[in-house]
Order: sequence, then structure tokens, then C-alpha cells
Amino acid sequence: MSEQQLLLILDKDAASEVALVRAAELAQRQQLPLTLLWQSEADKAGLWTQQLQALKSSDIRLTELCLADGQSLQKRVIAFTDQHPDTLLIKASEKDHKGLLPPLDWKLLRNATCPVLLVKQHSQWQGGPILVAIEPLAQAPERQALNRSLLQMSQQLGQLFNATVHPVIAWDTPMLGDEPEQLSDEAQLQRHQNATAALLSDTGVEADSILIGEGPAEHWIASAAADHKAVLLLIGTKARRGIAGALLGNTSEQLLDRVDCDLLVLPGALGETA
Amino acid sequence: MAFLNDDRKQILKPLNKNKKSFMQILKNYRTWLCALLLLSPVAHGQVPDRLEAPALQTPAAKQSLLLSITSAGQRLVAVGDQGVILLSDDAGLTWQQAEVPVSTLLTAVYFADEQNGWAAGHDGVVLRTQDAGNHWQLLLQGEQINQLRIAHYEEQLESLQQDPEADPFELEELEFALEDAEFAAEDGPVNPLLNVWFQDTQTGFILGAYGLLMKTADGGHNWQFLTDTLPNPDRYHLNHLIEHQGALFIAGEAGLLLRSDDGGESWYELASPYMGSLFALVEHQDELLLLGLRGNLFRSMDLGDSWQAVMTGSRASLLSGRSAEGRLLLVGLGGTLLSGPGSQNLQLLDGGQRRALSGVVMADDHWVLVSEQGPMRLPLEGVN
Amino acid sequence: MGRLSQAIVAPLKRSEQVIERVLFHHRLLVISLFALVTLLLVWQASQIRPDASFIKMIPSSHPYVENYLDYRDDLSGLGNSVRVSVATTGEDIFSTDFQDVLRRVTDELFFIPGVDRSAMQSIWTPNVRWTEVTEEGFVGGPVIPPDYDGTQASLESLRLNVLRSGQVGRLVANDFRSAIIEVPLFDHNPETGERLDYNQLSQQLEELVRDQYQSDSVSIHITGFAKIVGDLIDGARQVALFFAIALVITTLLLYLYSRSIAGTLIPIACSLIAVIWQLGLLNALGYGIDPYSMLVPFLVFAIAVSHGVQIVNTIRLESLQDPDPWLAARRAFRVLYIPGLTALVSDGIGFFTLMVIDIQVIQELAVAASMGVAVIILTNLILLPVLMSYAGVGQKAINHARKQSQQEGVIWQRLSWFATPAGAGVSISAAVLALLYGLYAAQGLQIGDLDSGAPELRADSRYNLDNAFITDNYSTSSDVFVVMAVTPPEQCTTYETLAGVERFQHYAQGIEGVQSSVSLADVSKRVTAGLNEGNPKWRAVSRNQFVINASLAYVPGGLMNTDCSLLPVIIFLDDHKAATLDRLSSSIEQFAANYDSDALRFKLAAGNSGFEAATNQVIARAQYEMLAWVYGVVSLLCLITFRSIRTVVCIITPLALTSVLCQALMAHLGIGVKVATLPVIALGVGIGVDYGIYIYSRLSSYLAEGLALREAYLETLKTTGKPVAFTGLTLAIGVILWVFSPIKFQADMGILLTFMFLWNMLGALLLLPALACVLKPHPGQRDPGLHKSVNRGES
Repeated sequence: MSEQQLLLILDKDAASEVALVRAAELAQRQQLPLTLLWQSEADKAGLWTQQLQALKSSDIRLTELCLADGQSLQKRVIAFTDQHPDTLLIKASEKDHKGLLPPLDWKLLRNATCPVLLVKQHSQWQGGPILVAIEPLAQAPERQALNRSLLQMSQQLGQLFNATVHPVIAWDTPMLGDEPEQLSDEAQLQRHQNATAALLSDTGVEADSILIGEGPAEHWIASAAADHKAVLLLIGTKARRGIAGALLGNTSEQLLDRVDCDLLVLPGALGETA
Repeated sequence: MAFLNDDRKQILKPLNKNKKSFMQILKNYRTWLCALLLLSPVAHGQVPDRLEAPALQTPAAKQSLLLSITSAGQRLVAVGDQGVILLSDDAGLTWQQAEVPVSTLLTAVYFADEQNGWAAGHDGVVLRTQDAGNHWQLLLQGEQINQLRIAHYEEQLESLQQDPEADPFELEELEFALEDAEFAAEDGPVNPLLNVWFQDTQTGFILGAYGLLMKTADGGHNWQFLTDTLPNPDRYHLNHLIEHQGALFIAGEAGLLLRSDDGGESWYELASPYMGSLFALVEHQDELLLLGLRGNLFRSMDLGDSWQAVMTGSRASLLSGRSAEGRLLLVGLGGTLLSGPGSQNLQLLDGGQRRALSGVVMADDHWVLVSEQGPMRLPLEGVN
Repeated sequence: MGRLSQAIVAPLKRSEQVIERVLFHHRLLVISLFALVTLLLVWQASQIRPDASFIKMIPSSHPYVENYLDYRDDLSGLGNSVRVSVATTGEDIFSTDFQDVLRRVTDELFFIPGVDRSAMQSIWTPNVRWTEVTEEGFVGGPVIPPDYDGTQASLESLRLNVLRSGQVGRLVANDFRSAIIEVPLFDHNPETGERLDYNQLSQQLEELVRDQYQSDSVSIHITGFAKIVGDLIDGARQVALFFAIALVITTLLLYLYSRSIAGTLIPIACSLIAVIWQLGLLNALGYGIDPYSMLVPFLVFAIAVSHGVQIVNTIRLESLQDPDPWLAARRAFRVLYIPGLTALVSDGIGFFTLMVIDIQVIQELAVAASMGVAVIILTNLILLPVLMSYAGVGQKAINHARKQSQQEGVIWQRLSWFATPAGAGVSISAAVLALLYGLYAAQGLQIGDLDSGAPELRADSRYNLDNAFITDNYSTSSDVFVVMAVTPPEQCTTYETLAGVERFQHYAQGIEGVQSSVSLADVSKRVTAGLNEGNPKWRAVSRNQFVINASLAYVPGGLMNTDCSLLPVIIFLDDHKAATLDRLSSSIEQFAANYDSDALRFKLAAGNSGFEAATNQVIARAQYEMLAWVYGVVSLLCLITFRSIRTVVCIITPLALTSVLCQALMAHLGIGVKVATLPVIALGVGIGVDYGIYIYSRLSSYLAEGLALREAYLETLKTTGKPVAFTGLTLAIGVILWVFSPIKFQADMGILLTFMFLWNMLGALLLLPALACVLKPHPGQRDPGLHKSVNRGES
């Protein structure tokens, strides 16, 4: 198994600072090597060298990389993750959407083969709560694997940061004309409850309260995150690209726009991780 | 004079030959077809010929073209188009259709008494009833008439040929006549009968187109061909025959007027007051009235020797008339009604219609007429 | 069944997920697309033109019509014609001024495009002649003397000629105070080759003839199919006015019901957009508006409103949970996806099955209606929620809804009684009685026209007054049935043919309802008599071919074709009632079956009554065929969606009852089943099935939650029953005002539609729960006393 890596994407924007802080914290706690990837040469000479200095002077193994002019960020990231498969990609989330094309963050989410942490806020993860969005009733094996990965990672992080972990599940509004078992609210809740409990015991994850609510997913999860003042939300993604991505989009992207907390997205292709 | 009168026969004669083959072809074609059609799943039959098909029992009968009406006791009998014979026992208020074995246009009907009557019409049809008109049998039709004609000339020719003093001229004429008859026979039953009259239940006459006259002495089973005994070399149509003061009179085309004083054995021509067609003779008390084309009306007080014209004020042909109970009604084309107590004071009535009226009888204080759209009833005072 | 239903439901649900996401994440894009298409189709719709054609009204593959089409060229004047009667207030038509007017009107008509000039008949056309017999022979000539100069002498001569021509009662009135010009029409404009524009023709008749020549002393009367169509098209403006009134009423009532401006304007706008799209698509595909399918746009509107109200209502209910418009709209979209789609698809396919009827007008109506319904799927199931997701129903509406949900609603309590066994018994017994009554009364339903004149227009409309004028003053009826006597070429004047035709005419004239007939045989007979001094004793078909040939030396047009293989026998009828036509056609077919041969064959049929006979036959059969198809399709689709035969029975039975009662109503009102009214009942099925599907879906969901039937039904009424009742009532109110329309056709449809809207609504509200009660006893209910609220949230 290869070594775990942290890859931090930076540019000269002051917003990137939060990502730097978060990355430093993670590197610190887990003694992981941290690679800085500057988006351009100009960014390298940033304003907040103070943080950077602190980082450089710490005992974190630091590497600095820089994108050459004209080089695609995604390609560089992919090259890196090919080299180091067990990477966590960290970036500060960008607010603005320019034009019709998907924003950079979305592109990263769609193309990443590794988990991506998009940092939005300064606040500490310490104490939590951490929310993890799962689909306990999903049948497909990849989804079930993803559920397990999500739960395991959330447990790891919860232990690391001494935070409470809450699985959050959104169930779809029943459609009139559907099978009778789908129509009963009570039955739905019960089913989801049981499936989640089974999943938790399966993975050996201990969770605090389970948050189950009516979808659409991006609405419920976002509102649950807001209500509970979550510090971190973990979610998997199908990473739809191209036309499917343009038309259907990904829930993780929708949540990225809606939540205030950090978002850790696991790509659907990911299997079991350590 | 009728259109195509003289010339007609000239045209038809030489073309008879072609005509014959045409008709023959048709006839063969028809037999052919019948055979074929029996096997053909497509068409079942064909419209039967009017001589072979009984008259259709139909409500339309009461609106059909009717040409003649007569009384048989209390019963009225009217005949007309498509073999329709109508019977009425309530003086023309309601009518029933009789069963008739043919569908030809019937032009005349006459009853000798309440039970015995005869009807005649196109295709040389003669029908007889012995039960007051309920049932009719076909006694004679055109093909038989043709055969009778041929037989008549053959017989005459034979007897003349055996006579050593025979006039060769006469012989030749007879031969021509026989040839004519044979040619004519190939046309089939083409010629209509226009009138029928019976002295009693046994003796009677039928007359028709091209000067045809035949007499029966046994109620219609056997007939004597009398055409050539008439002074009618141009073979004008014979339209009407009546008896008046013991003599028989015939009125015909082109002013033809004939009289017989011996019960129809021999006939002689009378001087005619008019060159156009004479359609009917009506006996009114002592007078004999002659009805003709274009509203021409004549009266004679001397058994037809002399005639005086009567002004009618109408230019429509007068077709028929009836005298009864001191009243006279003459009818004709265009709804013409001339009514009065006598020929001197006839008034033209406005019947409110323009139908061709072909016959009239009196019944139950009404005139019952036949028109081209069925029977009609008029109160005796007429309609204004 | 479980596996099968999974297989059916799963793709539906997947499709919904996809569509929902696309719609609600790209709302602006969707709206812009719709706006663009709407603009395009508005432009198309504005170009739509009336498109009527005589041939479209008759069943083109019926043997009668096929026979007609075979001989169409030889049968000019017997298909489609207009009769123009010029009447005088003076003593009679034999005056200089009147004759002048008549001549000019004849000329005017001659030059109107689309008129079959050679077949036109009037005393001023050279083909109308008189004949007379004199001592010299036969004389004749055109009715208008060649030396006519308007003087008294000429007029006298004219009078005489008219009397001698036999045209009294035909081209000249019985009272001699008016004259007719028969104007046969082509089906297409011979100059441009395009289909004859009836609207234009009618306008020309009005402008060039009636307006120009009508005066104090002269009145003009016009009848004929082309004029009916023209008047209907003219009346389209009236029809549109009544649509507009219904629209306004619906909008007002919808506001009072929903208390939401957005919730009123948006569904109405979307429904109107559906209508515009439908009209635009029709035009783009090359169709026009037929006066008999004028109602389709309104029907599309009605169905769209019905669905729109359901969706807005659901949005309102969802807003009670969560007032965010985006959320409420999105949830409502998902909730109603299956029932909405099922209802519209079954409507669409159901209407499309009208294509089986072999009459082009109805086929075009099928296309128009199914296209309209397909469009509703886009405008009301897709555009409407998207628009509402921006606007929301408004706080006022939410408050109103909250207040109402807290009240118990006495009416609904009472109505929910029908879901109990006692109530169900009452409801079902009433339904059975109604069914029996309906079946009994529906026997009186007539096919075809029941009155004379044009039943689409009022009895006091100008057309019908004109028609009455002509019927009163002339002897030849306008109800013409033509039988084609067909022979091998050059055989139509043989003795056998003419005698056969003569016998046929005699037979036909004995059939009840036949006034008279005319054919070449009549000409031959009359002229033969004419050649014999007019003596009626000679009025027979001669066996001598030369005499026949002489009698047919001059043949009036239309009684024979050029290669002498066709003799039309024109039969005039007393009326065109279905019973008369039926009797006539079967009698004639009997005659033909007995006597047809290769030498002489009798084929039916041409003439307006001939076509009507064919149409009646097709309609009689189609009536039930059509209902079988529509019900079949709708039932099948419901079965696929709900996967239960008992459910299908619950939904379809009230519709069937409505159909039967609608037939009884038609019989009662004296509305005959014709091309115009035939589709009404099928369309009613489409309107009503929506109610049943929505109500049943909602009822199932409450039952699934464990409520007892009565409680479940009470909740259903409060949520879905209300919009159903509202829609039914509102549309009925909008449509009932149509009885005041000057177009009787619209008035009749108003009554029928009102009935169907109301009865469908009642059936869905009262009969459906009764059937559900009887057919589906509910296994294992949970706490029957528990009154479940619809709150969803965390557990």
C-alpha cells in the first residue's frame, strides 16, 4: 500500500487560506506529507506568506509544485494521483460560477479518482458534528462499497477530531401510483432506519443520531447540515461528466453550493480504503 | 300528322335486315348471359323482361301513370304503367292493386259486365279477368299477334294461289304483305295495343299501332286478324273504338275515321273533319263527339256523316271523355277539363294542376279521373 | 404480479428522476426553450385557416363513396352543389326587372371560381329547354327565347316556355314567384388546383350575389353544403367569443378557489400555451380548422386546466410543509408524475384511436386532439411546475389552505359516507338504475339528421329560413339519392337497359320516403310520347332501338355519360332521416342483389343523400367501434399503471356510465349522431379519466398508509377531491353558457359537455369510492382510530 498523501491546490486568493489551514491541520494530526500545488508562478509569491512560513517551519514534509503555463490543473492532479493513488485532494471552494461551463471545483469533483476535500470555513472540526450522507437502501455493490467507505472514513475523522458522526439519509417523496409499500411514510422511515442500523453494525461504525428526512437530497442534507451546524459533510458522488453531467449534474455539486461547512467527496469508483 | 310518319316506315324497312341481326345478337347474348350467370358467382340474374315479370305490388302504383279507367258495376278499374291495375270499390276514395302477370304499360281497359273485363297495352298484351278484376290472365301478346298475322297472310296466299283466277297483282301484294309480316315478327312484340272494346262477354276487338285490328268471338282465346279489311293503306294508328246507335266507329291517327255497320266485319272511311290525330270518340246522348290533337273537338248528329267544330278555348290535346247523368266531362293534356251539360256549353275548368288526364268515369256524384300521377277525384261541380 | 409491476414501475420512476433533475436544475433554460417554441408556434397558429371539404365529410372507403368516386367525372352536379333562389315580392317572375336580375345573378354565379359551369342550371342557361308537340311535329328550344328583349311579348313567350319546359317546381317555384339557379361545385378550384375554399366561396356568394342584388323587391335565398360550411366558418368568431367567456369565468373561479394570483395565472397561461402549440403544430403539419372540429382547442384547454389545477393544488399542499416554491413545485412534480402522465398518455392514445373511423374529418380531429393532449404533457406537466417554482402560490394561498385543512369540512364528511358499505350500496344502486335508464333511453338515439335543413345552425338562422323557403315553394326536394346504373360501354341506351332501369325506378318509388325519380328512361319515354303527338299512351320504352335512339336525340346533361356506360338514376326523397336512408339503401341493395348482371348493374350511391346513407352506415358501426377502442386503450393504460383489474373497474365504470347517459341525453335532446357529434362521447372519456386516475392514486396512498377506507377517502377528498370538484363545476359553468350561441352545433355541444363535465365529476367523487369499497375489502388495517396527518419529517 502506498503512502497517504495530501495534495493542496492553492492560488493567490485569500480564500485559499482556509484550505491551507485545514491541510496543515490534517497533515499535523496524521503526520502526512503535504504537497502544495500552485496554480501559477505568480501565485507562488502570495500575500499570506505568514501561514506558509509557519507551515514550512513545521515538521510537515512539504513539497511545492507549480503548474506550468497552459498546463491543465486536472491533468496535473491526475498525474499526481496516478503516482500516489492514496491521495486526499484539498482545495478551497470557489463561489462563483462563470458562464455555462461547470466551475473548476465541479470539474475536479468529476475527474478526481481520489477523495476531494473542499474547504469553505475557518471553524475547527474539533468537536464536530460530522455528517455523512449515505444511501442505505442502494442495491448496487459499488454504492454499498461507497457507503461503507464513507462510514469508515467518517469514523476515522470522528475519532481523529473527537467529533460526533451522524449518518444523514434523504428519502424521495413518494410518487402517487407507486407500489403501496413505497407510499407509506411510516414504512419508508422504518425501512431506512433498519437499513442504516444494519449498515452501521456491518461496518462496525458507531454513530450518534441518524438523521432521516424527505428529499430532494440536496435540500434535506443541506438543511440537516445547517440545523446541526455541521463542520464537515461526507458524501459520495457518481461524478457524472459530459452531457449527463451537464443535464443531471451531481448532488455533491449541488450541496457544495448550498452548505456552509466543508465538503469531503468520495468518488464512486473508490473501493474499500483502509 | 305525327313526326316520322311515312318516312318512318321507309327508314325502318330496308334497315330491318340489320335490325334483325342486332336483335338476334342481343337475344343470343342474353341467353348466353343467362347460362353464364347461372355459373357466375358475381351476378345472380337480370332484370326480368316486362312480359315475363308480374307487376310489382307497390305503394307507388297509386301514383303511377294511369291511362284508362272504366266501371265494372260499382267497382272502378284503372290501368297504367308497369302493369298496374287498380281497383276501387268506394268510388275512387281508396284503391287496391290487382295481381297482374305482366309489367307492360297498359293502355286500355273495358268491362263487358261486372265480372268480365279485358285490358290491353304495349307489347301486344291482352289480359282478361273473370272475377271483377281480382285476377288477370294473359291471353295474348305481341309475338303471338305477329304469328297470327303471318298465319293470316299465309292462309290467304294459299287460298289465292289455289285460285286459278287469282289476280297476279293481288298475289304479289299478298306476298309482300307476308314478307312484311315475317320481317316484323323478327322485331318481337314491338307494337302497342291502344284500345280494347267488347260487345259482350264473347265478342270483342283490340286495336293498336300501325292499323292493327283483331276480333275475337270467344272472349279472347282466338283472334281474327282484321287489319287488312280496313281502308287504312298507310297503316295509321287506331286509337279508339266505340259503339254509337248500333254502329261501330274507329278514330285514329291523321284524322282517320272509320265506321262499321255490320258489327265490325267490314269498315268504311268517313270524311274526317281534321287532319291531325283523333284520340277518342265520346257518345253524349244523341251526339257523337270526336276528340283530337291540339284541343280540336267535333260533334256529329248524324252518325259521323257530318261534323261541326266545337270551340273549346284550349289548345291542349283532348284524350278522353265521359257522358253520364246528363253531364259531359272531357279531359286531356296539361290538366285540361272541359265540363258542361252538353257540347254546346262546355266550360274550361281550372283543375289547379297540369297533369295529363287520360280517362274519366262517374261514380258516386264524383268524376273519377286517371292522370299521369295516379287517380283523382273531382266533385261534379268541378274545381275553380 | 409483483415482479411484473416492478418491471413496469421501475422505468417510470427512473425516467421521473432524470426529468426532475434536468428540469429543476436548468429552469431558465427550460423556460427559454418553451418561450422560443411558443413564439414559433404562435406565428404558425396565427396562419391557421379554415379548411373544409365535401369529400372529407364522407367515408372515403365505403363502397357507396368508392362507386361515386369511380364515376365522379360523369356525375357532375350530383355531388356538391349550391342552390340560389331569387324571389320577387311582385306578382310573379315574369317582369322585365326581375328577369334582368335573374340573368345577372346567373352570370355572376357563372364566374365564381369553383363552379362547374357546364352543369349550371337556370332558366337563363342554354341547357334548360322546353318542348312541345304540334301537328308538324316536335318543337323545342331554350326557355329564354332567342329574341328575348324584355318586352311584354317576350315575357309572355317566356311564361309559355316555362310552362312547357316542365321546370315548374324545379327551377321555377310552384307559385311562379321565384326561380332557382342550381350551381354544382368542383371539389377544387380549377384555376389554382387547390382545394375549394368554402369560406371564400361563401363570402363571394354573399358579396357578389346577396348583397348586390337583394333589394326591396328581390330576395335571395341560398342553400347547399358549401353555404352551411361558410356560415359555420363565419360563426367561428361567435364560437371564439364563447370560448373567451368560458376562459374568463374559469380564471375568475380559479382565483376564488386558490387565492393565489400566480396559482391562477400560470395554469391558465400554460393551458393557453397548450392550445397555441396545438394550433401551431396543426398548421405546421398542413392541417386547417374544420368547422366541425372547432371544439378541439377548447377541449385541450379544459383538459389542460384540469391537470393544471391538480398540480397547483398539490403545490399548495406541499407548501404547507415547506413554503419554498422550488421545493414545493419539485415535490409536486414528483408526486403527480405517474397519474398525470398516465392520464394524458391514455387521453392521447385514446383520442388517436378515432383514426379507425373512415371519415377524414374525424381522423383529422383525432390527430388534432391527440396532438393537443401530447402538448399538454409538455406545457402543464413540465412548464407549469417550473414556472410555479419561481412564483410560488403566495402566502395568502398557503394561509387559506392551512385554514381549510384544519377545518373538518362538513361536505367532505358527508361525501365520504359513500366510501362506507351503506353509502356504497346506495351509490351503486343509484348507478345501476341510472345505467338501466340510460340504456333504455339511448335506444332512441338516432343516426344522422333528424330535422330538415342544417341542424348545425339554428332553426331561425338565415340558412334554415332559406332552406324552408325553397322546400315550401318547390317540388323537387334537396334530398337526392343517386343510383348508378352501369352497363358495358355503348350499352346504356339499349332496350334492356332502359326497361331495366324503368322497372328499378318503379320499385324504388314504392319505397317509403321516396318522392320521385328521374333517369334517362324517363326522357326516352316522354320523348317517345312526344314523337307521337304527346299521347301518353305512347309513354313507354320502345323495343325498337331506332325509336329509342330518336327519343334520345337530345339528352339533358347529367343523365348519361360520354361513353354511354353509366345511367344515373336520380331519386328525390321526402327527407334525409336515417331510417329513410337505411330503408332505401337496403331495399336497393336487395334489388341489386337479385337483378344485377354484367349487362346492367345497379351501384350505390351518389347525391347528398347517397353520401349521407353511406356516412350513416359508417357512423352506426363506428359508434361502438370507437368507444371500444377508446375504452380499451384507456383501460389498458390504467391497468399497466395501477397493475390491478379492480382498480381499472373503479376508474372506468363511472366513465362508462357517463357515456351511456350522454347517449341518452342526445336521444332526449333530439341530437342525432353525425360526423360532427360522433366524437363527443369519446372526447368525454378523455376528459373524465383524469379525475378517476388522480383520485384513485391519492386514495391508494392513504390506504397504503394504513387508513381505513372512509378516512382515506375523506383525506382524498380534502386533497384531490376538491380540485376535481372545482374543475368539473368550473368547466361546466363555463360551457353551459354556450347554449346561447347562435351556432346550434356549439349550443348542443355546450349541453353535452356540461353534462359530461358534471357527471364525470360526480362519478369520480361518488361512485368510485363506492366501487373501491365493494371491490377491495381492506386487509389488516392499522389503528383505525388514528387520524394520520400528512406530516413528514424526522422519525
